[in-house]
Amino acid sequence: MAVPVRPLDPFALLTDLPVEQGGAHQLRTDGVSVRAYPYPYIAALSISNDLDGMHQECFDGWHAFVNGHGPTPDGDGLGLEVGDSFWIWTYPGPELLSLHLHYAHVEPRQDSSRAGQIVELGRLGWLDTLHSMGNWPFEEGSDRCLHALRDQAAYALDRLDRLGVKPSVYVNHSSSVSNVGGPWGWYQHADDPEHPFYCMDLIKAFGFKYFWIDECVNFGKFGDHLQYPTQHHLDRAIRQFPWAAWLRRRDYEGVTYNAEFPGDSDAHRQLLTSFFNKTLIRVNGRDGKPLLAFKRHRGFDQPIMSTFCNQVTDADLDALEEMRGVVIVYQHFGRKGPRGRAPALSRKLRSTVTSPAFDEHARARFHSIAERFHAGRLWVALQSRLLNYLWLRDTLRFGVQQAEAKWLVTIEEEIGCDATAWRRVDDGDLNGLSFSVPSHAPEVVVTIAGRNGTLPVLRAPDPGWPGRDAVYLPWRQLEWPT
Amino acid sequence: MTLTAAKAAERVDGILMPLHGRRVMELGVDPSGLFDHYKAILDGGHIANRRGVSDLAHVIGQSLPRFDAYHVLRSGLGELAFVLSAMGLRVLACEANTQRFAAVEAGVQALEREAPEIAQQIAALHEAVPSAPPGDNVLCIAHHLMGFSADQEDAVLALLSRYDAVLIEPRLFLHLRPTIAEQDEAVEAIRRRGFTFIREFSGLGVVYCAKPTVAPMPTMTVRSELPAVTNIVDALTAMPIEETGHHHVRLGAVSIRDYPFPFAGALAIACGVAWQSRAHFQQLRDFLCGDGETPFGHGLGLEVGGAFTFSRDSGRVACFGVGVAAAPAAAGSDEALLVELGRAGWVDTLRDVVIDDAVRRKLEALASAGFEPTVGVDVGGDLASLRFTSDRQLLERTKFGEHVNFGSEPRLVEAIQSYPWEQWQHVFPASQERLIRCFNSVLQSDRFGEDARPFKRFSGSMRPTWTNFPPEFRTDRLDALTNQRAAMIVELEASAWSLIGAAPFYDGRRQLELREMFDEHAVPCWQDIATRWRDRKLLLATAGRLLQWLWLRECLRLRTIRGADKWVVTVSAADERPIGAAELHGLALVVPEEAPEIVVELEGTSSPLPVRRAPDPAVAQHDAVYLPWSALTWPQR
Repeated sequence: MAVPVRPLDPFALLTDLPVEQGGAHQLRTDGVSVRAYPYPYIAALSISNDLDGMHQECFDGWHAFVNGHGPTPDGDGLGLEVGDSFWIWTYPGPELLSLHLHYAHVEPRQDSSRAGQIVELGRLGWLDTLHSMGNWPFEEGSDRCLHALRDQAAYALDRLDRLGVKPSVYVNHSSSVSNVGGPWGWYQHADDPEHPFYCMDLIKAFGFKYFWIDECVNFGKFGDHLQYPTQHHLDRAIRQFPWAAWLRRRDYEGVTYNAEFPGDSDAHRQLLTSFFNKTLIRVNGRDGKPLLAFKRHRGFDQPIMSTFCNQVTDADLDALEEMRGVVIVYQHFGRKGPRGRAPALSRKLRSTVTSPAFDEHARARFHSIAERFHAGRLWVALQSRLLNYLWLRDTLRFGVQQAEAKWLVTIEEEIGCDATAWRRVDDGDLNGLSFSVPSHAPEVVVTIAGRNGTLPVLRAPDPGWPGRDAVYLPWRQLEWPT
Repeated sequence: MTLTAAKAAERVDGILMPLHGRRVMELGVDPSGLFDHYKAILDGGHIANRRGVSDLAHVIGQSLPRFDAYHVLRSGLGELAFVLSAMGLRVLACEANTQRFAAVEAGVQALEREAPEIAQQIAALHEAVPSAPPGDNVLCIAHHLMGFSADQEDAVLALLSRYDAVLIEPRLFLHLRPTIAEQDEAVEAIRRRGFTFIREFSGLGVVYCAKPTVAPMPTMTVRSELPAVTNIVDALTAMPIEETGHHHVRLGAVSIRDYPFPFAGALAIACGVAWQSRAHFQQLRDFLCGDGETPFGHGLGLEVGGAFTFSRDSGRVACFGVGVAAAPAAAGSDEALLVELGRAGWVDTLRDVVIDDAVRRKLEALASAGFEPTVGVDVGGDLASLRFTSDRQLLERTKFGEHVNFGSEPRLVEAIQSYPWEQWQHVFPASQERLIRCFNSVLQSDRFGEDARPFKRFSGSMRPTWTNFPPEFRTDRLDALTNQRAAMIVELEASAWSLIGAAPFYDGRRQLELREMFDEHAVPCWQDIATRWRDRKLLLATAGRLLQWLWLRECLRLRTIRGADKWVVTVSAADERPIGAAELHGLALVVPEEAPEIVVELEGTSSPLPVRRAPDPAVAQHDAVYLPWSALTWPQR
């Protein structure tokens, strides 16, 4: 019997939330800040594609078009950095992007025909997301998974490690026992210490850092870290936000409870602000240990290829740029079906995407995204890299010595927070790292404590924040293998 | 000191209003350059501080890149030019009409006397479009550039092509363009001349077109000055919830039902005529409205009405674009079909037309054949037969459904607070009743006279094309429509294809191909709607019939005499005009279930109406007493 928990009241806690505390990335007026995004971008987008139902033809086709440069059945490649996800186990059947095409308890374990592709693209960084560990068989007539054990997770993580595939993003998959539940947990058991599958300690030790949990979705609000132009706009958005789903959890029987969020009113205010307008949210797992959850934009329709065009509209993208926001788009590009219909109607009519991978509406939206990226406005990056930048801009610690002729920025050599391990700042962190300084600042030099020399930063007037300059290391995107 | 658009307009009005008041007195209406158009505006109390001037100036000043100079073409009395000058911009006011130009000059002289800081920013030119090159970084404001013959238009476009950016209102560009196809052509004509960056400001009806060399649009601006939402919320939330737009059924008494029995919500599709061919019209309705087998499945039996317009040349493909000078209808012609369907009620809407003598004559001919439209959309001019009218200012883009019953005060307050009141800025300040109608009513009663009641249409956040319809009409929204006992009139250009979610003018809008009409998105969407109709939850009716119902439930008055074994309900019109029994089609009342026999009479008649009675599925412990609603029957071909 669950102990009743007092519900959070977002309207009371966020009353009078000032615009500058509303979740948008803030720059220090007269000092040095990490820039919102790598220079020169003013907004950011990532695609978070769940591999469900995606056959090889579709996988190869959509990535060739979106990531590549040459001709494809969908048109010439757009040169965007958009990754994908994979599984460890799934049910026997179509050759989906899973290391094994059988359940976890089946012995002997055999690699699938797609294992080679997982290794190749995983090592290059394109497969940065594990879509949970995959599928387990269900108890007949129930939504409880069978045969799920911690040893299976240990095997999976060890295997990935040995293959040199190091994803850092963990995304829940429909009803999988290997999902992470956090404060909303019920059927998810990766972080449930009372379940035989518990493996959250192993998952974190492997290097997974960002977790997508079922509740962490935006439906109507497009993007986070949005800079609302007035108090009225912010207040209105807070009122319109669908709070209920964030504040409740349920159990196997469908009974709902208030979710438990420890902390005082300040902590609750920060948490609610994160729910409302931040991509990364620090919450506790079912094991009581902190983790970094992140949000994805779902839209009102179930996110499949056919609905991408109304899930991400030009008006959405315009507003994202204008409000300096970031969005991670939740998708299942392997599926197509009717737009606007409820799941019960839509699912019956869905089919598998083949080639070309997109309809003309989705293609047009990718062209629009690519145009914004190539014009230097919309940063399009792997979700691991985008999330890492967002995390970095809040956690990177640095000191500034301001002299008349020169400002010296010294980055501390270790980075971390209570939800992650501490480690040294590495090359991945430095890729695209950008600072924002007032235009009147003298020469700005950037170093890392404990390292010799200065970083080879460039400087330019900032197109996104008039009156400020960007001091930056250029961002280098991945190249899709031809 | 520069002023905001609103303050600038106030300042300019303070100078122009007395000036032109005097000039009209001294010179007369036409010689003063005001003519009837500006005389009516003068009588309205504001020349500059009104819709289309101050809000346009705000957009130019805040939402467009900064230009070195601004040329306002066909500048009228110079009011927009003066407002921009007062905002600190360098402006040239151009006007070709001699009397109007004299009015502009008089305005400049008045500014020199009373506001020299504004006057120094402005110059006037007695030309329609400057013949001299405009110089670098100049925005041409050509939002009312009309009055050119067809053979002059290329020359005008050539002059415009010398600018860096142009602001146009497609509907009024070079000539009147009532249809969206013609308006698209206006933008395309500009685009072809190198203005490849296109942005629509839909609330104002203007489109900004810039060459690639122009600075990008500024970001982080407030696109419009928000009305005092707090004041609106205070005004509306002080009202009893039952007076905030939803239809109120009085429990324990006799009331008019929300909708004909047994429906819980209502929907009418207001189809446009853009690119509509006879084949489109027929294929669409054979499946949606018919009852026979079609290539897309069995007909759905929905009442989806149609609209017509008039074509002025023979090359147009708009179905029922009946030539104004055409000979009387030949059998099988579009016109004959129009008359047949109009008489049957399937076509009830006249669209996208300015009523001139030729159009009026043709309408009279149709009337004598037995067909008169009752609904007008974007119709310029008066037409006695139109009972309901709508225009672009009455498009609702966000709120799905009118007469929504929010169920509780907190939800109502939340909805009022969240509503994008910006779209109604042009009616502020407004009475409580007006605000409620803006917020939650199809009929907008206080704008026109009794004979033509204005109504809102839902167009959605994307352009209301056929391809955008399924994603806009999601299952959950349709559920909400009946759960909240709401009604709506939906704008739908059923023969237009566009890229879903693309920005206007980048959406590739074109004629829908017949093979594209009922694809894997449209068929399930319409089947979803049809299920609700068949389940008798959602009423689908032509725009004219739904509007008539909504009008009926507002204007009818009931008087009940309660006897022990019989209640006699007398129905009359609030304005005491006589009501015909035919107007009461589908009339439904809600009565307590314990009420004895109910007799319903029309005032002034002695025979009772043939009502039926059944438990009301929507109101607990109440019955419905009703005349059955009959849907139109599509004439299968």
